[in-house]
Amino acid sequence: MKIFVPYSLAGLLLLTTCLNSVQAKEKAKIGLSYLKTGAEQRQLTVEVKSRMDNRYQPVEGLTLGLYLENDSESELLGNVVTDAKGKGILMIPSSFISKMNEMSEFNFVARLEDNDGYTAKEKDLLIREAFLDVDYIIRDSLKLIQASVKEKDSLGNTVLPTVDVEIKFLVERPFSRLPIGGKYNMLNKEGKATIEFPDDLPGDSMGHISVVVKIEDSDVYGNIEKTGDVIWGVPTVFDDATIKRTLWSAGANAPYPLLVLVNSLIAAVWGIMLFILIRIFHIKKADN
Amino acid sequence: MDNTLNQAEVEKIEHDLLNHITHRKKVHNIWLGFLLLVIAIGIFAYYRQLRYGLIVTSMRDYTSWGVYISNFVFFVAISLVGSLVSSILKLSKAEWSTPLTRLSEVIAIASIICAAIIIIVDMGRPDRFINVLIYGRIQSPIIWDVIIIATYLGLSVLLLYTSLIPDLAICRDKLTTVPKWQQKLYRILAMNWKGTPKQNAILLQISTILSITIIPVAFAIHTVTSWLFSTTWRPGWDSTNLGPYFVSGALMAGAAVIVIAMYFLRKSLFLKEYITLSHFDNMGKLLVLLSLVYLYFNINEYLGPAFKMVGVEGEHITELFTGKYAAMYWLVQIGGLILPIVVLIFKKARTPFPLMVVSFMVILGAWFKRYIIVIPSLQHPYLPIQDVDESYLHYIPSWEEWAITLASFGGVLFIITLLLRLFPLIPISETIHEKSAKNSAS
Repeated sequence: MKIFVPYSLAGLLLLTTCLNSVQAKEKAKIGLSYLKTGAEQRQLTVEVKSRMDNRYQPVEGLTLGLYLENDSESELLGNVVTDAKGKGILMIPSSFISKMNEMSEFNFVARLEDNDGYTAKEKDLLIREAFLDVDYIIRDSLKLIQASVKEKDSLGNTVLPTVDVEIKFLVERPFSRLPIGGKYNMLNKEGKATIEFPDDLPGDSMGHISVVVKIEDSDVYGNIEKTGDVIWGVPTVFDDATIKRTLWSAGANAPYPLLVLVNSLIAAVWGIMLFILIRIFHIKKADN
Repeated sequence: MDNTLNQAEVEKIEHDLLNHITHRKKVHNIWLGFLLLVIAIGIFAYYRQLRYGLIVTSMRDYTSWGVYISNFVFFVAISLVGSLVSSILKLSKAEWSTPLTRLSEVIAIASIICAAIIIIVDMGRPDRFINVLIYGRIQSPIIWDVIIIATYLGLSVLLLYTSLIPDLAICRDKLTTVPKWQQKLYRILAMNWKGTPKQNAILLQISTILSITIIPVAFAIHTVTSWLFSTTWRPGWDSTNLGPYFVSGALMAGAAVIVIAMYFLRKSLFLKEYITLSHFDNMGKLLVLLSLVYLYFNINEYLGPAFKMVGVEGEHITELFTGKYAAMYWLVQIGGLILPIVVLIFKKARTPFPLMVVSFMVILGAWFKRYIIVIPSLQHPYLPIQDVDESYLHYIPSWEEWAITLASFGGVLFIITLLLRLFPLIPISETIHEKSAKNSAS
């Protein structure tokens, strides 16, 4: 009995420690998305969150492996480390691009290995390859943007139009992208969607406008984006109000009367103070 | 020095007015220790604010200027007392105010230093304060405020120092028992003062220039502070009356602070012979006059909006008159403004104790007046946030805010106490000069 008690306590302590170490591991929630901006430019973005203080918060500093898998093999595309927002981006290496160009579907996997802080977890993403083309057409003085989307069949032999998928048309503005066209623009049976470009959009001083056409967050195709430049904007005459000397402009453009007034007052009062200081030293010398 | 006072009389004055420097009481050390404790608690609270951010305060998107800014406005107001007594009364030949000049200058310096500190405390990122100086826009009233505070502090220090020079020479010559560093301090600061005609002429020139210069600067410091509000689009602040309203309120509060300081210092430093009943009587009359002026601007400030009751401005007035700030508002207006005027009309009330009590009411009213100028206006924006968070609609300062606010009061009292431990409270040289002049006149 005397031997049993200390051994039991030690065992209990060991068990508690083990349980605590197991309980201390967190479960990560992994998000994985795909973006294609050109035949040679494709990227994968992972986002890792974990439940802390009753809400999901980004996890920084986790390393995840990103793989391209098929039935027989799993190839490592690269590793990413999550940033302060819990995100990690991998540009798919060119060595894989040529191989991917021959495929019609990709199965990506983001894998978190078991480590001190988190249990192992993985997230897969199945993407069907699609090809986005954009044409800028002027017809009867109307400016049109036409997007065409095609995809390969499951065998990868025939190219077919992609239908019934929403496509977005946007123009770059200083702080965000402005949607143009209808509220919903769906691809028709020919895999095309056409919108009329508004004729009152301000461009730069020459009328240049950057147009973005994209399929966004599609469960089948992921994100596909194509950017183009058109000279269809209204040339903007640069408004120099912000560099005029006004009360509400930047400090460097303060109105002259205000500058003169404030600086004169400062110079006058601080000048008097300087004079007083000099006179105080005169007191020191006038002691006889 | 005038010869109409004999040597014994001169020595008695010097002894009386230097006594608090040479004979320090234990109670004064306990007082300093207490102030340091209050300051230390405030520093701990500020550490928490720096560590965790402004979230430890109750300030949110609506009430972004809380008790710190109302306290800042209060200290700026108090600092005007320096110009009131040292300049306005001096230039108007009110000789009775001579014993109060130094006290007012010391209070002015202490309160303007703490006003500047409290502004930095209010900043979420105080490390970026330097950017205000480097990248500040001269068009902004905030920059004007920074400039005017620095200028007023510089002028106040010069005003205190130049008036001290003859007394520093007396300290240098008479205080031979104080520590060596203190003797050295007096020697350096006395600037070889021997009272030669040339030195007297320079000092007279300096003091006249300073007395005149500090008046517009003093008016500017509180006017610019009022512009911080009147140039911000909020109900209750959109007023052309705000400048004189602030200045008159500041002069009233400053006079009340002087009375309270007079009462306690007269007792604890045994100065009944120098701070007499007539000083209290005169300060009482001055307080009535300043209160009446402030009452006039108060009527101007509230009558127009209360008559029209337009939109958010009306809501703001309703909240002050009959809403959740009504108790504070009426206590401030009646207890801190109307009652003092009525009470101090009677001569008996202008004796030390009743006057001190009334002045205390004025000061309390002045502090809470700044509170109701700042807080209720912020809770009624012209463009309210939709579905605003409930916490934005109320403001009750957190313990950290109260601790820092009390520490700022502790800081003011600490600076005053420290200066009065080193320098004579009542101008010795001027007192001797005035008594001599009186003797020769009689």
